[in-house]
Amino acid sequence: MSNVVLIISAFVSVIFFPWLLTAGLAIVLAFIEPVAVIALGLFADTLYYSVHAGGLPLFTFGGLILGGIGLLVRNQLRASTM
Amino acid sequence: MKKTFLTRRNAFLLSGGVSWGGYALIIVLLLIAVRLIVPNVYFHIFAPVFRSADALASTSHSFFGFFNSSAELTKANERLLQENAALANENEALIQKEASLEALLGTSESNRIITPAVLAGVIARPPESPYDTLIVDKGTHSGVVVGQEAFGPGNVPLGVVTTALADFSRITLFSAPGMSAIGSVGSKNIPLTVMGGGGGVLNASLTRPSDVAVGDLVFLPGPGALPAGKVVRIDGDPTSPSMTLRIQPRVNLFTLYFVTIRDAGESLKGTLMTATTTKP
Repeated sequence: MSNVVLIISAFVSVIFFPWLLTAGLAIVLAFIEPVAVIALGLFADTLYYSVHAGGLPLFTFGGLILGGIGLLVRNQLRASTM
Repeated sequence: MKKTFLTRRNAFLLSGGVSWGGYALIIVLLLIAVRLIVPNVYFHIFAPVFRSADALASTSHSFFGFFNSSAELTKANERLLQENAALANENEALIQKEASLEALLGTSESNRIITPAVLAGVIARPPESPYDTLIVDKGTHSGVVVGQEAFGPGNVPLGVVTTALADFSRITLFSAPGMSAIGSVGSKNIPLTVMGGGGGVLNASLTRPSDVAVGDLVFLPGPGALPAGKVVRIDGDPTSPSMTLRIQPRVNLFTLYFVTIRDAGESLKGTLMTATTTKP
């Protein structure tokens, strides 16, 4: 349940709070729900990205990188010795 | 005997079904589809959300402003009063100049070209809209078309309309990365190319020696040349043949509530660089 609260908080922070808070939540979320971080990056760019601005969709790339790291770390941790 | 297991659980799946992250991703993909297929509906959905975020940002700014030092506020107030007096003087001088020119050239009200403008409310601005774009609540239904220029308070050129939907438009600011326009700087009107630096910052490069100083006004095209910013810093090695001007916009992009949009005609189209994707 705490995962759901964290995911919702991260999505709300994209709209209402400074990006630094969102980035902090995304880092925490990356180790709990890596896919949610990818979704978070896509969501931020869905809201704000403009192809006319000429730049890259930074939030999507950020989400993919962070989510990828999260998935990698999780997989490594789960490769446990029993 | 120890046995090593390499559990590769699918990140999209829980033991009982799709993970919460997977659900979030599905919802976001649906949102992307809405934005791409019916962008006007998408902005109708999100306009109240952007407005709420804006209201929250204003409230929190007021709250934290309460803790500012009163001495600093007094200093700022004095400085603003001085600036206001200087601007009033400058305005008087310009009115006099205009009157004398009209007397000389015989310009009448009927000869003036009045371009109709659309007043639009800003729904999302930097930093809510982090790509140096503004989303405004007027679109093609109100007469906005791609390529028109947006102006802030005091007729300050801000950017160009790059997307016009039925009820909403997106304005790419001159400060957006990749945006460039030809303008001029200083009282001698030295031509320069103003480049968007992102985050509300404008940059320009000039060759040395150029008669430009900190505080000089930078002009961009509108109806005529309009002051768009002020040189706040000049960077570059004194031995280098070029220098970089850091330009601060004349209006605070973070507190824009309304803009006017109107056709700036060929004066604008001619000055936007061809390499820029924002060329109308």
